[in-house]
Amino acid sequence: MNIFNKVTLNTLKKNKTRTLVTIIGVILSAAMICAVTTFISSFQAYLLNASLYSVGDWYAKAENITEKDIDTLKNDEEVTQIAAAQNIGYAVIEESRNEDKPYIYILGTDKVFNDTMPIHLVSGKMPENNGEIILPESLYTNGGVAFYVGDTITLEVGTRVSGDSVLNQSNPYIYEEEEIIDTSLRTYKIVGIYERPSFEPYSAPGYTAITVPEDLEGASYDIYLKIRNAKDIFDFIDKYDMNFVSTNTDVLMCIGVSGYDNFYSVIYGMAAIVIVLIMLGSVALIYNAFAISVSERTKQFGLLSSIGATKKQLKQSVVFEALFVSAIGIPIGVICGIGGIGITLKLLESKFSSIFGSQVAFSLKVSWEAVAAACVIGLATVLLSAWIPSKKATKITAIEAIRLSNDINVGNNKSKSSKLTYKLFGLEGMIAQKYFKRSKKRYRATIISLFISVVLFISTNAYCGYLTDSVTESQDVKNYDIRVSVYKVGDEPLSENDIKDKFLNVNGVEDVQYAKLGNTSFFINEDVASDEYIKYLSEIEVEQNVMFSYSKDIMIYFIDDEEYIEYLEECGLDSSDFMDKEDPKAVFYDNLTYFDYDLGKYFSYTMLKDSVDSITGLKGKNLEGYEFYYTNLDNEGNIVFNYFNDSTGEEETFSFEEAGIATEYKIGARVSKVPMGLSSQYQALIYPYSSYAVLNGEENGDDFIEFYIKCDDHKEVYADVTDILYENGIAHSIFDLAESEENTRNLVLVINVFAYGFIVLISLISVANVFNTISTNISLRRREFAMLKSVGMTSRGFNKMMNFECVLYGTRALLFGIPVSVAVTYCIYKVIQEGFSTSFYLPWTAILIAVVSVFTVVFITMVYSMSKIKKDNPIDAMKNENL
Amino acid sequence: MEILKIENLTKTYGKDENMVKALDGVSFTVDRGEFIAIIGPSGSGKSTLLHILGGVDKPTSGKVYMDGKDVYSQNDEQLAIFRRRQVGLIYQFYNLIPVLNVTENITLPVLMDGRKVNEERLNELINILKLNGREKHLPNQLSGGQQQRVSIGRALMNAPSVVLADEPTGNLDSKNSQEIVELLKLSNKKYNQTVIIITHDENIALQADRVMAIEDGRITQDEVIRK
Repeated sequence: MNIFNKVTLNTLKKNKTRTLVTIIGVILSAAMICAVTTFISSFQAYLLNASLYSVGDWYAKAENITEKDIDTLKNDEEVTQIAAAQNIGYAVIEESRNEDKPYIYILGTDKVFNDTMPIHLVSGKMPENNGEIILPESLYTNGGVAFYVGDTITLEVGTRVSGDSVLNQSNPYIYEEEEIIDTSLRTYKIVGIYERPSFEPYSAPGYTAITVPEDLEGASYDIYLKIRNAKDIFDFIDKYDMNFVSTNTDVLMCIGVSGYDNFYSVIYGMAAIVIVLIMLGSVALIYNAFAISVSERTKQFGLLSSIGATKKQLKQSVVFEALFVSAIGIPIGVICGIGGIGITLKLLESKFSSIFGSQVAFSLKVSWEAVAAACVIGLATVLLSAWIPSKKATKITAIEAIRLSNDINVGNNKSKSSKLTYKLFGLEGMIAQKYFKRSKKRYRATIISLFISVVLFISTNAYCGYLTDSVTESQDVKNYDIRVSVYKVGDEPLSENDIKDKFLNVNGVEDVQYAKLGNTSFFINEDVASDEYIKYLSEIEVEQNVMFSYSKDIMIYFIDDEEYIEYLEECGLDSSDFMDKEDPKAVFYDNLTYFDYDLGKYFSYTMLKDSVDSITGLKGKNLEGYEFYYTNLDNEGNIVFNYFNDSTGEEETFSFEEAGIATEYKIGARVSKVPMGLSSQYQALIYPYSSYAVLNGEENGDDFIEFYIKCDDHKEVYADVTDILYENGIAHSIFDLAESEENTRNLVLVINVFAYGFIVLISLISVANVFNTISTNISLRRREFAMLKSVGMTSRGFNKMMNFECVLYGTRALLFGIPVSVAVTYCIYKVIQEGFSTSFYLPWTAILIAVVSVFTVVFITMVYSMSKIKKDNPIDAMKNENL
Repeated sequence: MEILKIENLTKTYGKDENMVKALDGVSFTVDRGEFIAIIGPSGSGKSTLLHILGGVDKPTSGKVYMDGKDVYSQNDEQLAIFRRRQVGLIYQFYNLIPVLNVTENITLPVLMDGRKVNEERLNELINILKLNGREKHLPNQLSGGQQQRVSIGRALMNAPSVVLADEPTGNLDSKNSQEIVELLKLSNKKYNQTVIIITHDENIALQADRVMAIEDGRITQDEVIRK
């Protein structure tokens, strides 16, 4: 072995602890980088799998081609796979509730199609002959047509035409202008139900049913093909005069076919930012390890130089050190990184699938590119870290190195220490301070490391905190799990209470309440507005003269009588006062806490004076040929009603006399809470459901009712409730609030796991670094300590001196770290505030943890290093030239 | 025959009023095989002179010719190779590489060159230096005298034309000191090597062929005491 490498190796061996800690730093750095690159490769694989799952494994699609065309394509060497579906025809289904989808559309698919296209069976099996068929779930969920596996259906199948042109799934339903011709009867046994397929366009008029191809003369086919090299797909399409209608954008994007580079540049860009952050952290820290090693070896370099080593040889020896450390650290780091991200992904698997709402698992995918990238970036990090020290080491001349004149450079007045220090901490404190000032450069790395960690830790913490707030802490506390909006069109067979009872019978449902929303505009003025409200309006900078010129958001809720009575009791009110159908009185919710994020503060106020016992609501009449839009005050202060003219689409205004309806809303009591399901963000007049007709009339009533369901297992209840709705043919939309809140929590959890994983690893690198600097510096000061010992400094004195030094490092790092962290936290707050309302606060817990950790790390390192040199015989240490 | 020629050598440190002249127009020549002792008080410029002769420190002005070649006209790379092959330096504090054993320290200049070690010469040196049985020891396992013998071995390994020793006995007792001087005399006689030694010890100086005294950066005395 080259003698320089031997010297380097032996030096590394001699300083085992430091070498080990440096290698740990490299391991951590490589592990983090590898975790990022592997996460990306896993993410890419996930995206591809998810696309393959939902869109299918194909590159280009051609429509309406002949069997001959298929043969031509099959003979093309470039083509690797063709999935073909025969267009068998359309059949009308009378029962369909969806006016735009009145057909069943039958496809005869081949085996390749069944294997590569997204056909996901919900129940049953795939069709095996011409008499078997599978139907999409959406025929039931969207079309409201009930069917069961095992049923037999007879369909009148034919060609869908409009005039002379034949229509397919790409042509939406044209009312009264299309028909099915050349029909023939076909009978199928339903053998399975599958998920709505993604190859059926949203505007397609037929629910896609799948059977096997028939022996048809001159049948037309839709084909989905793959070619050898995905990049050539656009050229390939141009080559043929066939009806190629689309390419598989999702899959091509995931494969990285040009034209969709943008998508990856975003992912790569984000990854690059994270990697650069990691590299910055690692370089700053690994650099320090090399700087220590090199400065300790300066004398060695000088010696070697004096007996004839060239600069190149010395530089190479530093590079060798870097390579050696990398050779051990990077492979271990890569393995740890893959293992770490693998375990993380495994643990978070269920969270990921809930966030992305996909059936495809987000699992670990190790690609050689990712590993290679991690190795290269890791090596670059280490070499970059070694580069500056190596330059520095060879810059000084042999004679300087021998004399070590560079290392001891005490300026004239630099090492004056304050009298205060002497008084407070005695001689030991003074020496500590002098040493600290004298070797500022040496300890800069320690302080920078601590500083970086403190800033990263506190700001990551703040970021996570704000992010969590912004997604979870909605001030609107909705205490229900599932919301069902039912559209009441005409005469429904089931009454509101019937539906409620049905829901209540579902296993796991705890409570159901339904409510209707009244629609009225309220103008209030100085006479009724509370002082608090006027003050609030002026504080949020609403001009005095326009303060009352627009309508205010006051909700009118009608909640079902049974729940209403319960609610009144909860509020401590006598229900008999509020149940008069002819002369209804509302309970008024008027205790708002509102956060204004332009001003960054909360406002609590009531809108109306306590003495006000009724307010007037205004709405527009139903005018023939017009649609009511909104009301406002015109320039003269008169209330005007704005309508859309149905025929012209223009906005027109009418006076109160022409169009207005005024309703008096009486307030019977004020409350500070809202019943289940209602928003607490607005003032609200709350009435029993039975007074809806009296107060709202039939004019402009909202035509839907909302049911709020509270339950144990929202997933099960959701499914059961959906079944009830379909069984009874109730038009509805359903929202699983619990699910969406769970997704939000999962998202926050995932963000937190990654953010804290990042910060913990960066902090570990810092700790390794701090440990290295302090312990090396202490061992370099052995002679100084021996001297102090020899002139009579006691162990207690040493401890005092070292403790004081700890305090100096710690406070210095925190002195810079905390203000910067606060500044960064403020920036994060500003960014988050762009989208969410939140108030500025400091992550005190994180700051406290940072302070305690900094002192702990410094202190423990000091104790460790001192324990190693305590055994020194002072005379030996003083004599020892090699220290 | 002339091996070293020093012409008007000047070395200054600092600037303006803080300027210190370590060497002030030093000129002399040295013949091959001479054994020279340089004496002088602390700070007189002896070590600076020796370092400049060894190609370690650079002169402010003036020239050093070794074997007729201008030493400081070479670039850093060539200078390093010059140090490796042409001169052997011995320091007061031995300056061994602590992580290398005796053999490795001695053969360091050869190994740096990437050449093969001449085992015969190595064994001969180890015998002369009485380091038998200590070949695998690390410097901190040796006494001061032994360490200095290792550094002499290193200086002689490449059979350089000139051996420069900067107070090689300054850190040793009289018995060890005499051994070291005997070794230098031996190499001077046996290999006809030119030896220049800085010393404070009058006894050692008197064993040289020629004694030079330096004061305030000038040669104040240059006396050949035996031919």
